[in-house]
Amino acid sequence: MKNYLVLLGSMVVFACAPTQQEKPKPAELPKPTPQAKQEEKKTTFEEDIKQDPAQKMCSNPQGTVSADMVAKFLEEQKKLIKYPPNGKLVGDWKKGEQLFANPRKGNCYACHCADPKELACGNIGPILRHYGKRQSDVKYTYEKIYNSWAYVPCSIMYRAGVHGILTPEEIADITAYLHSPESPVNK
Amino acid sequence: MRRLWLLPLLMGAAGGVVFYALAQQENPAEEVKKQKEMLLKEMGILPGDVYAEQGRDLFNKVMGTAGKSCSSCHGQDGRYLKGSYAHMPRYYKDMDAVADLDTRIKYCMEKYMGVKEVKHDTNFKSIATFVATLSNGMPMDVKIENPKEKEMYEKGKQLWYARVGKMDFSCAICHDTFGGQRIRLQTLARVKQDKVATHWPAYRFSNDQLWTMEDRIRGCYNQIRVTPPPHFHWANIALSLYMAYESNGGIIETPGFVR
Ligand code: HEC
Ligand code: HEC
Ligand code: HEC
Repeated sequence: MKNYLVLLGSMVVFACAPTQQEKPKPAELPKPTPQAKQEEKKTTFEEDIKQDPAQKMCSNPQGTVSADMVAKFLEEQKKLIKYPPNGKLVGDWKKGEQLFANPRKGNCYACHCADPKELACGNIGPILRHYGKRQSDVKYTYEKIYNSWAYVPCSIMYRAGVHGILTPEEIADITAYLHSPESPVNK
Repeated sequence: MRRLWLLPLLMGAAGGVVFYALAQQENPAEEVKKQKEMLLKEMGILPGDVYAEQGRDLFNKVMGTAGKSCSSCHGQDGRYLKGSYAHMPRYYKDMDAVADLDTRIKYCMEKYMGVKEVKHDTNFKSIATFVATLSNGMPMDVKIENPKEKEMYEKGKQLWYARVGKMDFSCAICHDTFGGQRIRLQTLARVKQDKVATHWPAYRFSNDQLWTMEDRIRGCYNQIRVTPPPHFHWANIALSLYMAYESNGGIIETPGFVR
Protein backbone atom coordinates (compact mmCIF):
# COMPACT_ATOMS: atom_id res chain seq x y z
CA MET A 1 0.00 0.00 0.00
CA LYS A 2 2.80 2.36 0.89
CA ASN A 3 4.46 1.81 -2.45
CA TYR A 4 1.23 2.32 -4.25
CA LEU A 5 0.82 5.78 -2.73
CA VAL A 6 4.35 6.69 -3.65
CA LEU A 7 3.61 5.68 -7.19
CA LEU A 8 0.61 7.96 -7.39
CA GLY A 9 2.59 10.82 -5.98
CA SER A 10 5.37 10.40 -8.44
CA MET A 11 3.05 10.51 -11.40
CA VAL A 12 1.72 13.98 -10.77
CA VAL A 13 5.09 15.80 -10.69
CA PHE A 14 4.01 19.14 -12.03
CA ALA A 15 1.17 17.70 -13.96
CA CYS A 16 -2.46 18.34 -13.83
CA ALA A 17 -4.11 15.99 -11.37
CA PRO A 18 -5.59 18.08 -8.57
CA THR A 19 -5.38 16.44 -5.15
CA GLN A 20 -8.69 17.69 -3.89
CA GLN A 21 -11.47 15.23 -4.22
CA GLU A 22 -13.65 15.85 -7.21
CA LYS A 23 -17.09 17.03 -6.39
CA PRO A 24 -19.95 15.25 -8.11
CA LYS A 25 -20.79 17.15 -11.28
CA PRO A 26 -24.12 18.98 -11.47
CA ALA A 27 -26.43 17.51 -14.10
CA GLU A 28 -26.14 20.51 -16.40
CA LEU A 29 -23.00 22.61 -16.39
CA PRO A 30 -23.53 26.31 -17.03
CA LYS A 31 -22.22 27.30 -20.45
CA PRO A 32 -19.07 29.39 -20.23
CA THR A 33 -19.64 33.04 -21.12
CA PRO A 34 -17.80 34.36 -24.19
CA GLN A 35 -15.55 36.28 -21.80
CA ALA A 36 -14.63 33.15 -19.83
CA LYS A 37 -13.79 31.49 -23.11
CA GLN A 38 -11.51 34.37 -23.96
CA GLU A 39 -9.62 33.88 -20.70
CA GLU A 40 -9.17 30.19 -21.40
CA LYS A 41 -7.47 31.05 -24.68
CA LYS A 42 -4.10 29.37 -24.81
CA THR A 43 -1.00 31.47 -24.93
CA THR A 44 1.65 30.67 -27.51
CA PHE A 45 5.19 29.45 -26.91
CA GLU A 46 6.53 32.84 -27.99
CA GLU A 47 4.34 34.66 -25.46
CA ASP A 48 5.23 32.23 -22.68
CA ILE A 49 8.99 32.56 -23.10
CA LYS A 50 8.98 36.36 -22.78
CA GLN A 51 11.08 37.15 -19.72
CA ASP A 52 10.82 39.75 -16.99
CA PRO A 53 14.05 41.64 -16.13
CA ALA A 54 14.89 39.34 -13.22
CA GLN A 55 14.44 36.18 -15.30
CA LYS A 56 16.78 37.70 -17.89
CA MET A 57 19.42 38.40 -15.28
CA CYS A 58 19.27 34.79 -14.07
CA SER A 59 19.56 33.23 -17.55
CA ASN A 60 23.24 32.37 -17.68
CA PRO A 61 25.46 29.31 -17.15
CA GLN A 62 26.41 30.53 -13.65
CA GLY A 63 22.71 30.45 -12.75
CA THR A 64 22.95 33.59 -10.65
CA VAL A 65 23.70 37.32 -10.76
CA SER A 66 27.17 38.80 -10.34
CA ALA A 67 28.23 39.64 -6.77
CA ASP A 68 27.98 43.39 -7.27
CA MET A 69 24.36 43.07 -8.49
CA VAL A 70 23.04 40.96 -5.61
CA ALA A 71 21.98 43.78 -3.26
CA LYS A 72 20.11 45.61 -6.02
CA PHE A 73 18.49 42.41 -7.25
CA LEU A 74 17.19 41.49 -3.78
CA GLU A 75 15.89 45.00 -3.25
CA GLU A 76 13.96 44.95 -6.54
CA GLN A 77 12.46 41.56 -5.69
CA LYS A 78 11.43 42.74 -2.17
CA LYS A 79 9.41 45.50 -3.82
CA LEU A 80 7.25 42.92 -5.61
CA ILE A 81 5.96 41.38 -2.38
CA LYS A 82 2.34 42.15 -1.45
CA TYR A 83 0.70 41.37 1.88
CA PRO A 84 -2.86 40.29 2.76
CA PRO A 85 -5.18 43.33 3.19
CA ASN A 86 -5.95 42.31 6.79
CA GLY A 87 -2.23 42.29 7.57
CA LYS A 88 -2.32 38.73 8.91
CA LEU A 89 0.73 36.78 7.75
CA VAL A 90 -0.35 33.63 9.58
CA GLY A 91 -3.60 32.07 8.36
CA ASP A 92 -5.28 28.69 8.70
CA TRP A 93 -2.77 25.82 8.85
CA LYS A 94 -5.31 23.24 7.75
CA LYS A 95 -5.94 25.10 4.50
CA GLY A 96 -2.20 25.54 4.24
CA GLU A 97 -1.70 21.79 4.45
CA GLN A 98 -3.87 21.29 1.33
CA LEU A 99 -2.22 24.12 -0.58
CA PHE A 100 1.26 22.87 0.28
CA ALA A 101 0.51 19.46 -1.26
CA ASN A 102 -1.67 20.48 -4.22
CA PRO A 103 0.35 20.11 -7.46
CA ARG A 104 -1.58 22.98 -9.08
CA LYS A 105 -0.98 25.26 -6.11
CA GLY A 106 2.06 25.11 -3.82
CA ASN A 107 3.40 21.82 -5.14
CA CYS A 108 5.96 22.17 -2.38
CA TYR A 109 6.50 18.40 -2.03
CA ALA A 110 8.11 18.43 -5.47
CA CYS A 111 11.24 19.75 -3.74
CA HIS A 112 10.70 19.60 0.04
CA CYS A 113 9.92 16.86 2.52
CA ALA A 114 7.82 18.09 5.44
CA ASP A 115 5.03 15.90 6.87
CA PRO A 116 6.69 12.51 7.49
CA LYS A 117 3.53 10.79 6.19
CA GLU A 118 4.21 12.13 2.69
CA LEU A 119 6.85 9.91 1.15
CA ALA A 120 6.75 11.21 -2.42
CA CYS A 121 8.88 14.25 -1.72
CA GLY A 122 11.84 15.64 -3.62
CA ASN A 123 15.27 16.45 -2.19
CA ILE A 124 16.09 19.63 -4.07
CA GLY A 125 15.11 21.98 -1.25
CA PRO A 126 15.92 21.65 2.47
CA ILE A 127 13.76 19.32 4.57
CA LEU A 128 11.07 21.41 6.25
CA ARG A 129 10.27 18.93 9.03
CA HIS A 130 10.21 20.75 12.43
CA TYR A 131 10.61 24.03 10.54
CA GLY A 132 8.57 25.94 13.15
CA LYS A 133 10.88 24.80 15.91
CA ARG A 134 13.97 26.32 14.37
CA GLN A 135 12.48 29.34 12.64
CA SER A 136 10.31 31.89 14.47
CA ASP A 137 10.32 34.71 11.91
CA VAL A 138 6.94 34.37 10.18
CA LYS A 139 7.55 37.46 8.05
CA TYR A 140 10.60 35.79 6.55
CA THR A 141 8.62 32.63 5.79
CA TYR A 142 5.77 34.59 4.20
CA GLU A 143 8.14 36.62 2.04
CA LYS A 144 10.24 33.63 1.07
CA ILE A 145 7.16 31.81 -0.25
CA TYR A 146 5.78 34.93 -1.93
CA ASN A 147 9.04 35.74 -3.63
CA SER A 148 11.83 33.26 -3.12
CA TRP A 149 14.19 35.48 -5.16
CA ALA A 150 13.95 38.28 -2.56
CA TYR A 151 16.28 36.12 -0.43
CA VAL A 152 18.19 33.91 -2.87
CA PRO A 153 18.72 35.39 -6.35
CA CYS A 154 17.68 32.97 -9.13
CA SER A 155 16.77 30.14 -6.72
CA ILE A 156 15.12 27.13 -8.36
CA MET A 157 12.18 27.79 -5.99
CA TYR A 158 9.65 29.70 -8.06
CA ARG A 159 8.11 33.00 -7.03
CA ALA A 160 4.64 31.69 -6.26
CA GLY A 161 3.19 35.03 -5.15
CA VAL A 162 4.79 37.11 -7.88
CA HIS A 163 3.29 34.86 -10.57
CA GLY A 164 -0.11 34.64 -8.87
CA ILE A 165 0.09 30.87 -8.38
CA LEU A 166 -0.73 31.58 -4.71
CA THR A 167 -2.68 34.57 -3.35
CA PRO A 168 -1.42 36.48 -0.27
CA GLU A 169 -4.09 34.75 1.85
CA GLU A 170 -3.03 31.34 0.59
CA ILE A 171 0.59 32.11 1.38
CA ALA A 172 -0.45 33.11 4.91
CA ASP A 173 -2.17 29.71 5.22
CA ILE A 174 0.99 27.88 4.16
CA THR A 175 3.03 30.04 6.55
CA ALA A 176 0.69 28.83 9.32
CA TYR A 177 1.17 25.24 8.20
CA LEU A 178 4.95 25.63 8.53
CA HIS A 179 4.87 27.43 11.91
CA SER A 180 1.87 26.13 13.86
CA PRO A 181 2.76 23.75 16.73
CA GLU A 182 -0.41 21.76 15.80
CA SER A 183 0.74 21.22 12.23
CA PRO A 184 2.07 17.73 11.33
CA VAL A 185 5.23 19.50 10.15
CA ASN A 186 6.11 20.32 13.75
CA LYS A 187 4.60 17.35 15.58
CA MET B 1 3.01 -4.04 -42.41
CA ARG B 2 3.45 -7.66 -41.53
CA ARG B 3 4.50 -7.11 -37.95
CA LEU B 4 1.81 -4.63 -37.00
CA TRP B 5 -0.48 -7.18 -35.46
CA LEU B 6 2.06 -7.68 -32.69
CA LEU B 7 1.76 -4.17 -31.41
CA PRO B 8 -1.55 -3.94 -29.55
CA LEU B 9 -0.93 -7.28 -27.98
CA LEU B 10 2.46 -6.25 -26.77
CA MET B 11 1.35 -2.87 -25.53
CA GLY B 12 -1.54 -4.27 -23.55
CA ALA B 13 0.64 -6.77 -21.78
CA ALA B 14 3.36 -4.23 -21.23
CA GLY B 15 0.95 -1.87 -19.50
CA GLY B 16 0.21 -4.44 -16.85
CA VAL B 17 3.82 -5.27 -16.27
CA VAL B 18 4.74 -1.63 -15.99
CA PHE B 19 2.22 -0.94 -13.32
CA TYR B 20 3.32 -3.88 -11.29
CA ALA B 21 6.99 -3.03 -11.47
CA LEU B 22 6.47 0.65 -10.69
CA ALA B 23 4.73 -0.27 -7.52
CA GLN B 24 7.59 -2.51 -6.49
CA GLN B 25 10.55 -0.30 -7.25
CA GLU B 26 11.70 3.00 -5.88
CA ASN B 27 15.26 3.41 -7.13
CA PRO B 28 14.87 4.90 -10.66
CA ALA B 29 17.92 3.27 -12.28
CA GLU B 30 16.98 -0.10 -10.84
CA GLU B 31 13.42 0.44 -11.94
CA VAL B 32 14.43 0.97 -15.58
CA LYS B 33 16.63 -2.12 -15.52
CA LYS B 34 13.90 -4.25 -13.97
CA GLN B 35 11.33 -3.04 -16.47
CA LYS B 36 13.57 -3.87 -19.35
CA GLU B 37 14.39 -7.33 -18.07
CA MET B 38 10.76 -8.06 -17.38
CA LEU B 39 9.59 -6.99 -20.82
CA LEU B 40 12.36 -8.94 -22.51
CA LYS B 41 11.51 -12.01 -20.52
CA GLU B 42 7.81 -11.83 -21.22
CA MET B 43 7.86 -10.59 -24.83
CA GLY B 44 11.30 -11.47 -26.11
CA ILE B 45 11.51 -7.96 -27.63
CA LEU B 46 11.26 -4.38 -26.36
CA PRO B 47 8.36 -2.23 -27.57
CA GLY B 48 10.78 0.37 -28.98
CA ASP B 49 12.31 -2.26 -31.23
CA VAL B 50 8.86 -3.26 -32.46
CA TYR B 51 8.23 0.36 -33.44
CA ALA B 52 11.58 0.52 -35.22
CA GLU B 53 10.67 -2.60 -37.21
CA GLN B 54 7.37 -1.03 -38.10
CA GLY B 55 9.35 2.04 -39.20
CA ARG B 56 11.47 -0.12 -41.49
CA ASP B 57 8.34 -1.46 -43.21
CA LEU B 58 6.97 2.04 -43.70
CA PHE B 59 10.34 3.24 -44.97
CA ASN B 60 10.18 0.76 -47.84
CA LYS B 61 6.53 1.48 -48.62
CA VAL B 62 5.20 3.90 -51.25
CA MET B 63 3.53 6.97 -49.71
CA GLY B 64 2.13 10.18 -51.16
CA THR B 65 1.28 11.25 -54.71
CA ALA B 66 4.77 10.97 -56.26
CA GLY B 67 4.72 7.18 -56.11
CA LYS B 68 7.93 7.02 -54.11
CA SER B 69 9.07 5.37 -50.93
CA CYS B 70 11.91 6.57 -48.74
CA SER B 71 13.93 3.70 -50.13
CA SER B 72 13.52 5.05 -53.69
CA CYS B 73 16.16 7.66 -52.80
CA HIS B 74 17.84 6.35 -49.67
CA GLY B 75 18.21 2.68 -50.62
CA GLN B 76 16.43 -0.49 -49.50
CA ASP B 77 16.21 -0.46 -45.68
CA GLY B 78 17.90 2.95 -45.73
CA ARG B 79 21.28 1.67 -46.89
CA TYR B 80 22.52 5.17 -47.69
CA LEU B 81 21.35 6.69 -44.42
CA LYS B 82 23.78 4.70 -42.28
CA GLY B 83 25.47 7.12 -39.89
CA SER B 84 23.31 10.10 -40.90
CA TYR B 85 21.73 10.50 -37.48
CA ALA B 86 25.18 10.86 -35.87
CA HIS B 87 25.51 14.25 -37.60
CA MET B 88 22.02 15.56 -36.95
CA PRO B 89 20.66 18.17 -36.57
CA ARG B 90 22.60 19.85 -39.39
CA TYR B 91 22.32 22.28 -42.28
CA TYR B 92 20.76 20.99 -45.54
CA LYS B 93 21.37 22.73 -48.81
CA ASP B 94 18.08 21.70 -50.40
CA MET B 95 16.16 23.18 -47.46
CA ASP B 96 18.57 26.04 -46.91
CA ALA B 97 17.94 25.46 -43.22
CA VAL B 98 19.08 23.47 -40.21
CA ALA B 99 16.82 20.49 -39.56
CA ASP B 100 16.48 17.91 -36.82
CA LEU B 101 15.49 14.32 -37.60
CA ASP B 102 11.77 15.06 -37.48
CA THR B 103 11.90 18.18 -39.64
CA ARG B 104 14.19 16.52 -42.20
CA ILE B 105 11.81 13.61 -42.65
CA LYS B 106 8.79 15.90 -42.90
CA TYR B 107 10.54 17.87 -45.63
CA CYS B 108 11.33 14.72 -47.64
CA MET B 109 7.75 13.54 -47.32
CA GLU B 110 6.23 16.84 -48.42
CA LYS B 111 8.75 17.95 -51.02
CA TYR B 112 9.82 14.68 -52.61
CA MET B 113 6.97 12.27 -51.99
CA GLY B 114 3.88 14.46 -52.21
CA VAL B 115 2.55 13.62 -48.77
CA LYS B 116 0.05 16.27 -47.68
CA GLU B 117 -0.16 17.49 -44.08
CA VAL B 118 2.45 15.32 -42.44
CA LYS B 119 1.31 14.30 -38.96
CA HIS B 120 3.67 13.66 -36.06
CA ASP B 121 1.91 10.38 -35.26
CA THR B 122 3.10 6.91 -34.31
CA ASN B 123 3.86 5.94 -37.91
CA PHE B 124 5.92 9.08 -38.37
CA LYS B 125 7.80 8.50 -35.12
CA SER B 126 8.41 4.87 -36.06
CA ILE B 127 10.08 5.94 -39.31
CA ALA B 128 12.22 8.48 -37.41
CA THR B 129 13.18 5.80 -34.91
CA PHE B 130 14.13 3.39 -37.66
CA VAL B 131 16.34 6.03 -39.30
CA ALA B 132 18.07 6.69 -35.96
CA THR B 133 18.79 2.99 -35.45
CA LEU B 134 20.84 3.07 -38.69
CA SER B 135 23.50 4.95 -36.69
CA ASN B 136 23.55 2.61 -33.68
CA GLY B 137 27.01 1.84 -32.41
CA MET B 138 28.50 5.02 -33.89
CA PRO B 139 29.67 8.00 -31.84
CA MET B 140 27.57 11.16 -31.93
CA ASP B 141 29.50 13.61 -34.10
CA VAL B 142 27.58 16.83 -34.65
CA LYS B 143 29.53 19.69 -36.21
CA ILE B 144 28.81 23.39 -35.96
CA GLU B 145 30.37 24.84 -39.12
CA ASN B 146 27.80 26.49 -41.34
CA PRO B 147 26.72 30.01 -40.18
CA LYS B 148 23.12 28.77 -39.90
CA GLU B 149 24.28 25.95 -37.66
CA LYS B 150 26.16 28.42 -35.47
CA GLU B 151 23.10 30.63 -35.23
CA MET B 152 20.83 27.70 -34.38
CA TYR B 153 23.25 26.40 -31.76
CA GLU B 154 23.37 29.81 -30.08
CA LYS B 155 19.57 29.95 -30.03
CA GLY B 156 19.50 26.52 -28.44
CA LYS B 157 22.00 27.52 -25.82
CA GLN B 158 19.96 30.62 -25.03
CA LEU B 159 16.78 28.60 -24.62
CA TRP B 160 18.65 26.09 -22.45
CA TYR B 161 19.57 28.76 -19.90
CA ALA B 162 16.44 30.93 -20.18
CA ARG B 163 14.42 31.19 -16.96
CA VAL B 164 10.85 31.39 -18.22
CA GLY B 165 7.21 31.14 -17.37
CA LYS B 166 5.20 31.12 -14.18
CA MET B 167 7.56 28.64 -12.59
CA ASP B 168 10.79 30.50 -13.36
CA PHE B 169 12.46 27.31 -14.59
CA SER B 170 15.09 26.76 -17.27
CA CYS B 171 16.28 23.49 -18.78
CA ALA B 172 19.65 24.14 -17.17
CA ILE B 173 18.44 24.53 -13.61
CA CYS B 174 16.84 21.10 -13.63
CA HIS B 175 19.30 19.28 -15.86
CA ASP B 176 22.65 20.94 -14.96
CA THR B 177 22.38 22.58 -11.54
CA PHE B 178 20.15 19.99 -9.90
CA GLY B 179 20.87 17.07 -12.25
CA GLY B 180 20.96 13.80 -10.32
CA GLN B 181 18.59 15.06 -7.60
CA ARG B 182 14.92 14.25 -7.21
CA ILE B 183 11.79 16.18 -8.12
CA ARG B 184 9.17 14.24 -6.21
CA LEU B 185 10.49 10.75 -6.91
CA GLN B 186 11.87 11.37 -10.38
CA THR B 187 15.58 11.73 -10.78
CA LEU B 188 16.57 14.67 -12.96
CA ALA B 189 18.75 13.51 -15.83
CA ARG B 190 22.12 15.21 -16.22
CA VAL B 191 21.38 15.83 -19.84
CA LYS B 192 24.90 16.76 -20.94
CA GLN B 193 27.08 14.43 -18.85
CA ASP B 194 24.78 11.55 -19.66
CA LYS B 195 24.92 12.39 -23.40
CA VAL B 196 21.20 11.81 -23.61
CA ALA B 197 20.80 12.62 -27.30
CA THR B 198 22.32 9.19 -27.97
CA HIS B 199 19.23 7.34 -26.72
CA TRP B 200 16.44 9.32 -28.40
CA PRO B 201 13.98 8.52 -29.96
CA ALA B 202 13.00 6.41 -26.99
CA TYR B 203 10.22 4.21 -25.69
CA ARG B 204 8.79 5.57 -22.43
CA PHE B 205 7.36 2.79 -20.31
CA SER B 206 5.67 5.21 -17.88
CA ASN B 207 3.14 6.25 -20.53
CA ASP B 208 3.74 3.41 -23.01
CA GLN B 209 4.66 5.73 -25.88
CA LEU B 210 7.35 6.20 -28.46
CA TRP B 211 8.81 9.72 -28.23
CA THR B 212 11.26 11.60 -30.42
CA MET B 213 13.46 14.32 -28.95
CA GLU B 214 10.86 16.87 -30.05
CA ASP B 215 8.26 15.11 -27.91
CA ARG B 216 10.67 15.07 -24.95
CA ILE B 217 11.37 18.80 -25.23
CA ARG B 218 7.68 19.57 -25.54
CA GLY B 219 6.98 17.34 -22.54
CA CYS B 220 9.41 19.29 -20.40
CA TYR B 221 7.91 22.64 -21.43
CA ASN B 222 4.50 21.23 -20.54
CA GLN B 223 5.72 20.20 -17.11
CA ILE B 224 6.84 23.74 -16.35
CA ARG B 225 3.56 25.22 -17.61
CA VAL B 226 5.01 26.84 -20.71
CA THR B 227 2.97 26.22 -23.88
CA PRO B 228 5.25 23.88 -25.85
CA PRO B 229 6.50 24.93 -29.27
CA PRO B 230 4.55 23.08 -32.00
CA HIS B 231 6.28 20.16 -33.72
CA PHE B 232 8.92 21.21 -36.28
CA HIS B 233 9.22 24.64 -34.60
CA TRP B 234 12.73 26.17 -34.61
CA ALA B 235 12.89 25.92 -30.81
CA ASN B 236 12.79 22.11 -30.99
CA ILE B 237 15.53 22.13 -33.61
CA ALA B 238 17.67 24.61 -31.64
CA LEU B 239 17.45 22.67 -28.37
CA SER B 240 17.99 19.34 -30.15
CA LEU B 241 21.11 20.73 -31.82
CA TYR B 242 22.40 22.10 -28.53
CA MET B 243 21.89 18.79 -26.71
CA ALA B 244 23.19 16.67 -29.60
CA TYR B 245 26.38 18.74 -29.77
CA GLU B 246 26.80 18.35 -26.02
CA SER B 247 26.35 14.59 -26.53
CA ASN B 248 29.23 14.32 -29.01
CA GLY B 249 31.40 11.26 -28.43
CA GLY B 250 28.57 9.27 -26.86
CA ILE B 251 27.70 6.01 -28.61
CA ILE B 252 24.29 6.01 -30.26
CA GLU B 253 21.93 3.37 -28.98
CA THR B 254 18.35 3.86 -30.14
CA PRO B 255 15.53 3.41 -29.45
CA GLY B 256 16.21 4.32 -25.82
CA PHE B 257 14.25 2.79 -22.99
CA VAL B 258 13.29 5.40 -20.42
CA ARG B 259 10.81 6.12 -17.71
C1 HEC C 1 11.64 23.52 -7.52
C2 HEC C 1 11.99 23.25 -6.17
C3 HEC C 1 11.26 23.99 -5.05
C4 HEC C 1 9.90 24.12 -4.90
C5 HEC C 1 8.81 23.64 -5.83
C6 HEC C 1 9.72 24.78 -3.63
N1 HEC C 1 10.92 25.04 -3.04
FE1 HEC C 1 11.22 25.94 -1.23
N2 HEC C 1 13.22 25.88 -1.52
C7 HEC C 1 13.85 25.26 -2.58
C8 HEC C 1 15.29 25.42 -2.43
C9 HEC C 1 16.36 24.88 -3.37
C10 HEC C 1 15.51 26.14 -1.24
C11 HEC C 1 16.87 26.58 -0.65
C12 HEC C 1 17.43 27.72 -1.44
C13 HEC C 1 16.59 28.94 -1.31
O1 HEC C 1 16.40 29.41 -0.19
O2 HEC C 1 16.06 29.40 -2.32
C14 HEC C 1 14.18 26.42 -0.70
C15 HEC C 1 13.94 27.12 0.48
C16 HEC C 1 12.71 27.21 1.11
C17 HEC C 1 12.48 27.80 2.40
C18 HEC C 1 13.53 28.42 3.30
C19 HEC C 1 14.07 27.36 4.19
C20 HEC C 1 14.95 27.92 5.28
O3 HEC C 1 15.36 27.12 6.12
O4 HEC C 1 15.21 29.12 5.28
C21 HEC C 1 11.15 27.70 2.67
C22 HEC C 1 10.41 28.15 3.91
C23 HEC C 1 10.54 27.05 1.52
N3 HEC C 1 11.53 26.77 0.60
C24 HEC C 1 9.20 26.78 1.41
C25 HEC C 1 8.60 26.32 0.24
C26 HEC C 1 7.16 26.22 0.06
C27 HEC C 1 6.14 26.56 1.12
C28 HEC C 1 6.98 25.78 -1.21
C29 HEC C 1 5.65 25.57 -1.93
C30 HEC C 1 4.87 26.79 -2.10
C31 HEC C 1 8.27 25.58 -1.81
N4 HEC C 1 9.22 25.92 -0.90
C32 HEC C 1 8.47 25.09 -3.10
C33 HEC C 1 13.25 24.62 -3.63
C34 HEC C 1 11.89 24.56 -3.87
C1 HEC D 1 12.99 11.90 -54.01
C2 HEC D 1 14.09 11.56 -53.17
C3 HEC D 1 13.84 11.47 -51.66
C4 HEC D 1 12.88 10.75 -51.01
C5 HEC D 1 11.74 9.94 -51.58
C6 HEC D 1 13.17 10.90 -49.61
N1 HEC D 1 14.26 11.69 -49.43
FE1 HEC D 1 15.23 11.98 -47.72
N2 HEC D 1 16.56 13.18 -48.64
C7 HEC D 1 16.54 13.49 -49.97
C8 HEC D 1 17.52 14.51 -50.23
C9 HEC D 1 17.81 15.18 -51.58
C10 HEC D 1 18.18 14.77 -49.02
C11 HEC D 1 19.28 15.78 -48.75
C12 HEC D 1 20.59 15.07 -48.79
C13 HEC D 1 21.71 15.98 -48.38
O1 HEC D 1 21.63 17.19 -48.46
O2 HEC D 1 22.71 15.40 -47.93
C14 HEC D 1 17.55 13.90 -48.03
C15 HEC D 1 17.96 13.80 -46.72
C16 HEC D 1 17.42 12.94 -45.80
C17 HEC D 1 17.96 12.70 -44.49
C18 HEC D 1 19.22 13.31 -43.90
C19 HEC D 1 20.40 12.52 -44.41
C20 HEC D 1 21.73 13.03 -43.89
O3 HEC D 1 22.74 12.49 -44.34
O4 HEC D 1 21.77 13.91 -43.03
C21 HEC D 1 17.13 11.81 -43.88
C22 HEC D 1 17.27 11.25 -42.46
C23 HEC D 1 16.08 11.49 -44.82
N3 HEC D 1 16.30 12.18 -45.97
C24 HEC D 1 15.02 10.62 -44.54
C25 HEC D 1 14.03 10.34 -45.46
C26 HEC D 1 12.88 9.53 -45.13
C27 HEC D 1 12.61 8.89 -43.77
C28 HEC D 1 12.12 9.47 -46.25
C29 HEC D 1 10.78 8.80 -46.40
C30 HEC D 1 9.74 9.30 -45.51
C31 HEC D 1 12.82 10.22 -47.29
N4 HEC D 1 13.94 10.75 -46.76
C32 HEC D 1 12.41 10.32 -48.61
C33 HEC D 1 15.72 12.92 -50.91
C34 HEC D 1 14.67 12.07 -50.66
C1 HEC E 1 11.27 21.06 -13.43
C2 HEC E 1 12.41 20.38 -13.90
C3 HEC E 1 12.62 20.24 -15.40
C4 HEC E 1 12.82 21.24 -16.31
C5 HEC E 1 12.78 22.73 -16.07
C6 HEC E 1 13.11 20.60 -17.57
N1 HEC E 1 13.06 19.24 -17.43
FE1 HEC E 1 13.66 17.87 -18.81
N2 HEC E 1 13.16 16.38 -17.54
C7 HEC E 1 12.66 16.54 -16.26
C8 HEC E 1 12.32 15.26 -15.70
C9 HEC E 1 11.70 15.01 -14.34
C10 HEC E 1 12.70 14.30 -16.68
C11 HEC E 1 12.59 12.80 -16.58
C12 HEC E 1 11.25 12.42 -17.02
C13 HEC E 1 10.92 11.01 -16.76
O1 HEC E 1 11.66 10.35 -16.05
O2 HEC E 1 9.89 10.61 -17.29
C14 HEC E 1 13.23 15.05 -17.81
C15 HEC E 1 13.76 14.45 -18.95
C16 HEC E 1 14.39 15.16 -19.97
C17 HEC E 1 15.13 14.55 -21.05
C18 HEC E 1 15.39 13.07 -21.22
C19 HEC E 1 16.44 12.60 -20.28
C20 HEC E 1 16.83 11.18 -20.49
O3 HEC E 1 17.19 10.53 -19.53
O4 HEC E 1 16.77 10.71 -21.62
C21 HEC E 1 15.56 15.55 -21.86
C22 HEC E 1 16.38 15.41 -23.12
C23 HEC E 1 15.07 16.80 -21.29
N3 HEC E 1 14.38 16.52 -20.13
C24 HEC E 1 15.25 18.04 -21.87
C25 HEC E 1 14.77 19.22 -21.30
C26 HEC E 1 14.82 20.49 -21.97
C27 HEC E 1 15.36 20.76 -23.35
C28 HEC E 1 14.29 21.41 -21.10
C29 HEC E 1 14.06 22.89 -21.31
C30 HEC E 1 13.08 23.21 -22.30
C31 HEC E 1 13.92 20.68 -19.89
N4 HEC E 1 14.20 19.36 -20.06
C32 HEC E 1 13.39 21.27 -18.75
C33 HEC E 1 12.52 17.73 -15.59
C34 HEC E 1 12.74 18.98 -16.12
